[in-house]
Amino acid sequence: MIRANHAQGEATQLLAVGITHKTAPIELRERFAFDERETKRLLEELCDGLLSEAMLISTCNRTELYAVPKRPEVTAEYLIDFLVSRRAMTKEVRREHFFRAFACGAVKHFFSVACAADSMILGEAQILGQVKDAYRLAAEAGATKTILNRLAHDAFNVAKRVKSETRFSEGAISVSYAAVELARKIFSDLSEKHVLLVGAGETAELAAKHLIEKNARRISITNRTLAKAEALASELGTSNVLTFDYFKERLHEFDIVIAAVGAIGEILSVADIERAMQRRRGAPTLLLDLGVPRNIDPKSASLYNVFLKDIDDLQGIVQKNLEARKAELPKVERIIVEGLIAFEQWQASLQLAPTIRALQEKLEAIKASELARLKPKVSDAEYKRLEQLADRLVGKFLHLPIKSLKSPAPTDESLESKLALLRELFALDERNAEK
Amino acid sequence: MDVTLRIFSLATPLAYIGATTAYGADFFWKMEWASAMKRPLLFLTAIVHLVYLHLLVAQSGYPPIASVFQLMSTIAFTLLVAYVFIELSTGVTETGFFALSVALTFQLVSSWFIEDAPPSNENLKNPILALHVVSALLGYGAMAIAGVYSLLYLMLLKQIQTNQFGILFERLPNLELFEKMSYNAVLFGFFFLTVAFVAGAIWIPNSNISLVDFKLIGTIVVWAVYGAGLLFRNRLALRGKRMAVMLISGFLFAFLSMTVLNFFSSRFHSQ
Repeated sequence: MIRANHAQGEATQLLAVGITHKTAPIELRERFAFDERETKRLLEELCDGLLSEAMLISTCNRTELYAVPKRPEVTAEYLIDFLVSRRAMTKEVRREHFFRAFACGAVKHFFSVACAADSMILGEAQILGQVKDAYRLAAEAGATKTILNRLAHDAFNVAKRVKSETRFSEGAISVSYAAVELARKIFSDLSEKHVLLVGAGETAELAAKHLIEKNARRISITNRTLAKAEALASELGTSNVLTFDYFKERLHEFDIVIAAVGAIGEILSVADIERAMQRRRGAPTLLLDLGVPRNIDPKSASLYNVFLKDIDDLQGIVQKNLEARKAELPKVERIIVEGLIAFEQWQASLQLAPTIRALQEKLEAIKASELARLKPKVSDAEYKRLEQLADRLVGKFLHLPIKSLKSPAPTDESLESKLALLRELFALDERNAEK
Repeated sequence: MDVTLRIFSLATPLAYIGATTAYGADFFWKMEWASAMKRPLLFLTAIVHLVYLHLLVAQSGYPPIASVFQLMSTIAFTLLVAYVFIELSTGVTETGFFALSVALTFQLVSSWFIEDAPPSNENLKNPILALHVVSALLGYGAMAIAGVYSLLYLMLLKQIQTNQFGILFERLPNLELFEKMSYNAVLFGFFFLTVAFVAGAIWIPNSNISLVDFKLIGTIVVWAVYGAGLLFRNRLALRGKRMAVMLISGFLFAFLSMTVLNFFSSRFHSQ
């Protein structure tokens, strides 16, 4: 029922259209990506004539337009055609590649997007920041007013509640982060542990950054190309670089070894690990083999106190966490619905505002005229008391009808009939007409 | 048995059931009420049990170890106190269900079978014997905690090794912490067992205890094995799984010598 009378009296209907990972393949989605400059320009153009409010979310998984049209002819199909023509993709894209949502549906969808319940990877952390950026851009472009301002802030609250009241965002959902989660299940304090990165590629870097986030401080790096190892070491803020020919000699010093060297195959044999374990006197070692093909002989897993995990093993942790997030979806849905109800109540109160204001003005006018009539006949002290009495009476007379109006109405029609009755009983429209 | 004692003999196992249920509900289902109530219930259990033991002492005039069932209740209390100490010092609450389950088992058996009038034993009024008993109980309590943590270590280790990342992987603390807590519990337990031995050695000439008493020999073996393990821990690479298996075996052996064998004897040490 997001059809409300604004202060200006215009009809408003929230619409949402978009292309997402659920409706279209990446080849199409990527063509609809908008950068910040394009987004602002588009919003300014839309709000110039077609829409009274607009906001565009553009990420790698979605491009969504939220709009409050100025004119009834601006429909979801109209906006879809507008976006398609804007990208000159009338041949490749069909309307079926877009989702469309109206009123409550649009609000619910926006809340789901903000709390990552609609994301490709459930509960992912980035989307809320992207939604906040989209709102900032829309506000800077002067494209947000009453409805979208409220919608955005309600969505941020819903996302905050989901984060604090559910376990929807918990657990690693990438292999490199799963590696760190595993390390934390074996060792209690990563700041005391020596970590060796074998390889200086993107995978090793990502795993090292996650380890640093969890307080790992003693990180050493080795790589076939020494310069790359040194570059990564400086990026990670460490000076511990080992030459590739020498690192096996010092393998026993490390509690965690992350091997992520691509296209080279086995680097560490069972004999290498066995030798290191003998020198470690049985102290546990976590070997994370993130290389494809694998860099560590899988037979090493049978050695005492050696924890060897490859990408497939870590994928198990990712899968478990994704299932745990899926299990939290009903709780997330409940929070979204609660947010939706709050938004709807606020929306309904927008409809009530002109009537309540008119009623207040009407009673205030009666009070003022009666007091003016009595003023010459009473003393100043008596007038003050009468004024107080009149204020109290007006307050009490207003209380019940306003309370009744603000109580949830079962349907739009019953709310409209309540408003009509009130306006008729107190002749509010006549007064407005006189005005 | 007077009314107050009867009430507390019922309230004590009920308190254990309440606390264990709260810890379990929080661990397995993350229930809000359980999370909020588990620690108050833990303290309540400790208080109720303390009052119960105090009433037993008031009834007989000596420590509640005159029968195997009194002894089991005292062991449950020792386990509870040891767990409270560990929880407060480490802040780890996820192991509560497992530690309290062991204490609950002891208390349930005790409450079910405990006699209205326990056998009298004048020897128990001797202060050296009291020191011997209290130290031995603290020692065995700590060994039991070490055994429980070692068992949890093995269960978590199995999940990690087999890539079965279940609820234990998700909720339990890390392996290193379990190893550290087990080790500290063993150090604590070994110290008190040593005190128990010294006090026992002083007291033996005044008693008619046989030096070939099976439980005495068994306890000496446990003490010696734990001592050797602590002394040569590094040299023997007694870490991880090996240490966990050793601690569980030690606990089971001690448990058998302390309890099951007592079913065949009317007194703690047979003669």
